[in-house]
Amino acid sequence: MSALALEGVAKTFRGKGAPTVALDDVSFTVPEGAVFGLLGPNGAGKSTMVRIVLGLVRATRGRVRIFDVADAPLRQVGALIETPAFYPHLTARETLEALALYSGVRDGERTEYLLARVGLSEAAHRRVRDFSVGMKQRLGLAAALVGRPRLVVLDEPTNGLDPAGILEMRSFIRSLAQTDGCTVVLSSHLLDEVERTCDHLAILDHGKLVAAGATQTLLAASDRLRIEVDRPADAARLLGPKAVIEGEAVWIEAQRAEAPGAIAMLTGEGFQVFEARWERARLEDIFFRLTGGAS
Amino acid sequence: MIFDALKAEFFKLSRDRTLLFWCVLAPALAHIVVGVALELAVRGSVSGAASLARPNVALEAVLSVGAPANPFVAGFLAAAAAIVIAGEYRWTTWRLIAPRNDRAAILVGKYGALLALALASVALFAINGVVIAFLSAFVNAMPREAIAGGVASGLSGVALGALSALLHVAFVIGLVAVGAIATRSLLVSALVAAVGMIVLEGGVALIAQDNPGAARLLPVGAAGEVRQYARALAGDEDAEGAGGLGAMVIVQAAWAFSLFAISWLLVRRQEFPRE
Repeated sequence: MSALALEGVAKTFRGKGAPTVALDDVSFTVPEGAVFGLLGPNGAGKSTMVRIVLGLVRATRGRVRIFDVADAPLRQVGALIETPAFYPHLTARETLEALALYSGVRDGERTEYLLARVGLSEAAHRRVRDFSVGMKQRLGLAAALVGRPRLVVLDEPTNGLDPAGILEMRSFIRSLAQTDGCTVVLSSHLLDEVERTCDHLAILDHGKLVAAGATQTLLAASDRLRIEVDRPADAARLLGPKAVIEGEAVWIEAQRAEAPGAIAMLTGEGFQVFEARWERARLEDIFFRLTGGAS
Repeated sequence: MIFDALKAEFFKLSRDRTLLFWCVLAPALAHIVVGVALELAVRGSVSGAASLARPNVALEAVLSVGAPANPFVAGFLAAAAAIVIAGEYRWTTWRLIAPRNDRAAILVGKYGALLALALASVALFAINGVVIAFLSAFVNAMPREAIAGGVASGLSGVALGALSALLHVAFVIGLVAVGAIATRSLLVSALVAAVGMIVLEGGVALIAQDNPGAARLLPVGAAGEVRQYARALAGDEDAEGAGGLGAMVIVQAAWAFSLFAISWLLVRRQEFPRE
């Protein structure tokens, strides 16, 4: 079963000027129990997509299925969207209580548990207007978990957090999947965060889906063979267009099965091969290659 | 869904003490302070208590219960409505609540909480009216049996006055809701309501000169007629309603419901790309 499936979702904003295409025929599936990263540069359409999933914005075309149900009730979805906003006159505890009422649940113990889990027990009685950005982010996370959602959508959850807070958030997100059994969709432009946290990911660029799949599969597909050889320029010419020279070595974008043949070809032509090893691609490399950004 | 939204809106409203004080309690407090001061001042300036008109407790309550419908007091309730409805745009909190409940249910919850606020205001003003009437009787040294209208005998008038005031406040809430949803602005929604009320008050006065029938079809005109009926029920011999009581109540209700329906349609179709 998929926790979330987008089928040909498109969104065009029509304002005073020319229409803006925010999403263009985006389709992907988030497996149940996954921690799914949604990557993209600013303006790629990540937040629009999150808002479509949450019913805040209507898709121009396409369909969203939640746990295989189209137009499913959103009460099984918890969300934290960008910098969380709250009612300034309510305290942290009252905020969670109010949101629980909207969701049709009232569980005082759960409220206290969530406050403790995000480290806000001490500040539970304080009004939210006096909270720092980091505290609001924590409260936003607790708010997302009100009502025991099966799917949690987090849009830039580490915004405004200090390095320690970012580390804490990372382990928190993993615990949502491992301990709580939630499926997590994490939208972020922090590549390192997604690479470390997510087992599946999708990359958006200018509203289009440019890659999607299991993180390890995507990374493995982009592995490169690094060969140190005595005449790199000649070796690169011999190996063809997939080979480039970087530094002292020749780099080849190839499948693992192609490596012995490439090395045999070089030795057969009299090249001295000093070293050959696979280099694991970083998400950053893939991201910039697919989105055309500078590395 | 609606019941959940109602509970949540009541909860939020009950925690906003500033709003409760300034939008409900303060106008009622000001009313009773001014009423008592006037009563005492009149007592001090007029010699011979017997020369004063006998206070009619029911009529005082009817007059008082209608106060939330006057533009000044309704302005405070409009401010409350602006905070409750437009506040979601100002604080960008639609993102918190829209995925948790149906938007229409949330809007109904907001209307419900605001009408409860209006009901509390109406009740406070009714109590003020009764207190001021009894004070008047007391300072004028009138025997208990000389009080012309008993509270019990005027209850139907008070109930009708309260209904009219509530329907008028519902209309004002509707103005604010439409303004808030259409403009996404707290300030503009309050201004829309204020300007709307002023234009309607002035418009009804102007139209009534040449065409009283048409004026009665406007919410302010219909409310005025229902108040006349309420005063008549409370024993005011000078009051005389026109246009038919049922018809006037229906006109008031239709206006309030129309604005609710417009706000409901608007919020259902609305997108929240920022909120």
